[in-house]
Amino acid sequence: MSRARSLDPVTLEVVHAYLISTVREMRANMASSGWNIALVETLDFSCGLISNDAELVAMSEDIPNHVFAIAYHAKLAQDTYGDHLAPGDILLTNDPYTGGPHMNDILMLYPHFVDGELALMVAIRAHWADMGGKNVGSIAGQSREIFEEGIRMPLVKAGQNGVPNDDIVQILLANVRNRDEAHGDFLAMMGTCKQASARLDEVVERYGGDVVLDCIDAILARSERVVQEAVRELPRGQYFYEDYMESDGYTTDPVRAECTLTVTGNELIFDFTGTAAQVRGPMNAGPACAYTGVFSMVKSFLEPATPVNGGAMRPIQVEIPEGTFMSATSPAPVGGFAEIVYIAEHVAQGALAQVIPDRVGAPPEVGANHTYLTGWDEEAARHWLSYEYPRGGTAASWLVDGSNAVCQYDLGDIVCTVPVERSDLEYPLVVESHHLRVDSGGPGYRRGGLGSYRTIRVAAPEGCSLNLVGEEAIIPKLGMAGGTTGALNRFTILRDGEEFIPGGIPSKAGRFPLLEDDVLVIRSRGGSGWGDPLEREPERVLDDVEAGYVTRSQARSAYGVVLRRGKIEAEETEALRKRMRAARREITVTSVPADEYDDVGRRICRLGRKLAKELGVKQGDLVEYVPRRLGPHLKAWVVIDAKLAGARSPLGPKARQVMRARGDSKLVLRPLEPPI
Amino acid sequence: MRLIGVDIGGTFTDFAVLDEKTGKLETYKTPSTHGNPLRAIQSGLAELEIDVETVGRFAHGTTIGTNAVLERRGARTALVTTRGFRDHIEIGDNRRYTGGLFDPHWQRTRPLVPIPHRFEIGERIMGDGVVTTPLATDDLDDVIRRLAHEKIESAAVCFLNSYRNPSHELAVGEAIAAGIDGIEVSISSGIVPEWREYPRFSTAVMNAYVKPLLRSYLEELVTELRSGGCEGELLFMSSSTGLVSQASATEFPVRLILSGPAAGVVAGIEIGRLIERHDLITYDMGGTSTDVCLVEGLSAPVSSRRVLQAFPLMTPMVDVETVGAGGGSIVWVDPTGALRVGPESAGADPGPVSYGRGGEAFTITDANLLLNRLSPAGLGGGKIRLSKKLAREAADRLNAQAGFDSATQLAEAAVKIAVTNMCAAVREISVQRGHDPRAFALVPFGGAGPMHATSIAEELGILTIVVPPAPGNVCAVGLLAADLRHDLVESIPQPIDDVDPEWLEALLRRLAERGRELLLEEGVAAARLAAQYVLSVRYAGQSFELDLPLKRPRVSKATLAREFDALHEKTYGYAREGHPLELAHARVAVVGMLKKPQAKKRPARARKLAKSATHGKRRVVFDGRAHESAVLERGALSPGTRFDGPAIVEEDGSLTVVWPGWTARVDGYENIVLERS
Repeated sequence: MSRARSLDPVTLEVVHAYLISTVREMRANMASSGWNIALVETLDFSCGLISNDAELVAMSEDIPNHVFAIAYHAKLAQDTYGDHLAPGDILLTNDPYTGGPHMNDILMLYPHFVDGELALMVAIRAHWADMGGKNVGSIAGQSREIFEEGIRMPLVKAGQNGVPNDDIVQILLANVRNRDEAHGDFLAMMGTCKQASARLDEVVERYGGDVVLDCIDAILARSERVVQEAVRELPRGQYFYEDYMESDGYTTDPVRAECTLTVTGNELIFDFTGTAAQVRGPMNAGPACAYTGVFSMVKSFLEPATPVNGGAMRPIQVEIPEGTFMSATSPAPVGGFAEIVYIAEHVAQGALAQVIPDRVGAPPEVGANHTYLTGWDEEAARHWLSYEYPRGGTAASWLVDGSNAVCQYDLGDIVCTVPVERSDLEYPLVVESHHLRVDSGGPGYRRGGLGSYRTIRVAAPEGCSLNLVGEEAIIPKLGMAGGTTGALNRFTILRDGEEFIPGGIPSKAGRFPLLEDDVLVIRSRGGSGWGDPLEREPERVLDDVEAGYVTRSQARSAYGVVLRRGKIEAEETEALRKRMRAARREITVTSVPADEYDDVGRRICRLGRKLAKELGVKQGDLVEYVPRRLGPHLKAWVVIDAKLAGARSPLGPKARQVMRARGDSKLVLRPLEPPI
Repeated sequence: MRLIGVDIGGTFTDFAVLDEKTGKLETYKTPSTHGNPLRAIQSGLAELEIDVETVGRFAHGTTIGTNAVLERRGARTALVTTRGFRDHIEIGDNRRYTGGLFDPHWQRTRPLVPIPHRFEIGERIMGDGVVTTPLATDDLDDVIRRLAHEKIESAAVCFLNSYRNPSHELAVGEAIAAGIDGIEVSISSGIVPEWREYPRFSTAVMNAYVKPLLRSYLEELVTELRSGGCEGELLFMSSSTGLVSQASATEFPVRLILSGPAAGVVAGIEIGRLIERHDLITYDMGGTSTDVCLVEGLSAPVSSRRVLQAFPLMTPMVDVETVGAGGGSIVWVDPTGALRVGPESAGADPGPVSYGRGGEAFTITDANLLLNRLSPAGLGGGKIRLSKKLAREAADRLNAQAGFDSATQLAEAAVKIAVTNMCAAVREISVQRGHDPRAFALVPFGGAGPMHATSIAEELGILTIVVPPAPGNVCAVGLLAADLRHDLVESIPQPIDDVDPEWLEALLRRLAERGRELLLEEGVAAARLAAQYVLSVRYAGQSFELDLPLKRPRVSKATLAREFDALHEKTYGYAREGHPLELAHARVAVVGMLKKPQAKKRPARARKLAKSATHGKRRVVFDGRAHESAVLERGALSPGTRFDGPAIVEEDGSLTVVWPGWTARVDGYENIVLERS
């Protein structure tokens, strides 16, 4: 392996460690000195160092969708200001269309100069509690225009020579709720940028500016080389995959995303052409979100070992057509930005899973579960705002079970629920319970993690309202390699003994009025399973039952494991598993020249009456094709076709490619149903 | 009489014995005996020929609690919690706490208490302390029956808002203790009366998990000593650097989790006191990990926001930063061809490849051997011979992927990378908190500390290094230098504007008085007490406080505001002058000062190196070049001796490397003081 001889390898390691530790220090600084709860309790912010070519140089346990949007805006800053950037400039923006992710995630860039030249940009993207607009907290499941989501700051110089430009800061603060807190957040970001910049001065002083810049080049080049080598080993070709968001916030018509992955030998090209146009509701984003999704999947599955930086993205091209919901234009609202990361992850992963089927875990969880409970505190004359995003169970991989109710690998290491004792003091709310959802993990050879059950009672006599933005409350995600999906997210209100979905569309609500004693019930999803649950070692199933994660009844129904008095009944288990395997229904593929979609864009699976009956599905039901080998599953909706007989079912070319099927191939077909 | 310090570590049990009459300090090391740690103590005492009747104080540091958690060997533990919150201890705040970004194979560490051992009781207290759901006594009776049926050994009682109103926790704790023979009970508000329930519960559960083990170990140890006729004080090192009584250690074993590192910091402070250097960085490098700590003004920094394994803890702990870099850390090559060090360690068995015991891993010890910094006689005076041949072969194997020009070059890079990782830890505790490491003296100890100290100092710009005598036994020595300590805290949330300075002073003094009473119960004479006062303050609207030390308990609002703004600016890079302030906690540490070894200063008239101190020369590699370096024996270096690097100073259990460009002198306390020439 060649290495730049001019650069001492030890210096390279030292400078690299120094840059990463600078980012870690920034995180610690923000977490302690910020103001709004999203920063200090839930750590909803990210820090990074960006090169003078607008590539990510260093990050820590930060939030990927923040960080990659930073790179977009750093590029914009360099393109916009060019030589007019100066030390001490304080750049600010939250414009989603030129990057991402959403209005509340405000970015500060602090250019760092070495020997009079721009060397790095210190960057913090931090979630401000409120950016103004229609709803307290600024994002809601039913926004129609971005103007409802608060004040949009184009990229501006909000300060020079390390001193804020008061005109700009005042315009910003006049437009947000709880301005004192927002001002504190602004100052905390500025203080953190300055501390980081001083740290960078130290490393430059020690090693010299040229050496530090060479190190940055080498750090990026090294990651590039590794990914490039990994790409070279992949089989060339084109791979297609599709998946759906379940709702735009207004209807429950699915919104399709498509991705075509081309492996050229040197590059991976992820092309999202074919993805649906931007939607009326908030399920849109700027281009950085889909880009983030691609990076997370490539990094996690193709080349997980090396440090995270933009060099790893050089061999990867991402095409995101403007005007799609992945690269929306004004006035599309963007409060559902996180779901765009997830859907991009799913289609990118589905394509990648055809290239390296033995190295891809179950599809990641879906649904940011943004939950805002808000109101007006008459006494303090301020808005109150409780903001949580409860996590579900994580996806299984071929090596490990998913974990219970915790941040998944595509998210920074952040707190997602407010401490109950803090909530008790700050809000007219009472958190009443917090449990795991037993049996919610997707069964598999490796099981998905469990979701959680959390209830919050409203204690405010009036004026409390609810905003929700999430997904995976209608359409389950898939399993992988024969694994099964996990339980869905489900947000309901309990009022006078009745449980209902606020606003009518699951996981999407805007300013939904709540009454005193209403109980918000949050059920978070289970993770997807990997591999055939009938292959899971019975000892592990027993352990799950003893640990309280799986009931005896699910051990039997999903895993075919018979337990009696705390022991495995080996023979009965074997016999039951045999019967369960035999009961699986397969279709015989009929090749047809085109893939068929219905008028809202859903893939159609035509089945004869008898087969549908055997499968237990009816017209409009959701089913999944499951490969006989490793690889991704595929979703479709049932259309009963009286003309079809036996196990025959037509399959278009794209689906055949995904399933690696030909005419007369056999595929397992089953209803796509959550375990509970 | 004798004062004895015994520190049980993962690999060795270390002794420091001070003869009060002669002032003579003796140190000793014996392998730790896992399973029955008492055996190592017995054998050490026997080896040192100590009659326990002559022991005036036995001060003890132990990692038994930590290891029980890491190895999952704690008690059969139950959680008793507020109805509805059974799994809060598992779900927590959804954070991973242990890395995992872009790692689809990351797995959450299972909680110490499984679901079937978590029990709920109807009750609810709100944030203002008001009971909204009274304690359900039926539930309580039922829970007690089930605890007994499940043969639970230890229960953690964790209710919401108990920091504000502990009455339900106390009632349930008493009922369980009364209802089940021999069960241990831990009450969350009794351990940490502070808000944020998840870390408080997590602390209480860990306390419960290690409590039975600690109790029986401490009882056995005390019985052993008392039955042998020992009438001296028996004290235990807590994580916050203070010694506590057996009763306190048994009740709150979670407070002993960082017992060993705390003793090291105390020892460092004691050295600083002697040589009148008040700002220090202690640097303890052992076989598997390195602990560093920044000491300012000779006081140990203590914080309450740490994570052990995957579990957050809220008890006061000395703010050491730990990195997985030690002598046994394994050197490897990642897929990019980059050389990496640790955190995997070869341990003591089979150990580094050069031990020749079947280990194949090339470690930092092997790298030092190839650089000739370490001799084949190793650190144990030749008890284990190290094989250079095996080390070189292992280095060559790595080099096939790493592409360095030679095994020596690879070895030097490996050591430098380990040094970088350790420096990152030092930066974390210094630069990050607004301290310039150059203003601090580095105090290296542990077997491998003095070997790497000059490299660390070079990297960080540190000008002075103080290598204490017997670096391998410093933690045990620290146990002799420690004082008794009680940390008291009271939540007093209110705007500073509303604070009456007289009331505040009375409160601080009352806390100090309570601490004094606790110390008196432990038998410390009142004359030797000192109190440290700290206020936790924040800007109104902020969530986290900064700890502001007070010189005296009486303080004006104006002074508070001025000092807080300055501290905030220094720590976080900004201040909001004139913004309203809030008081969160009053903290008082009451220290009962104990008799300590009084190190005698010997005259240290400058003198040249005695011939007898040199016992050879080695060609040692520094920065890619071999330098002819004197090899000296530490025992033969008398106070006042000066010499220049490059040099190697050998002693039993440790080794000091003096780089070219550094000058060494032995001071009146027999420290080797290294300074840049």
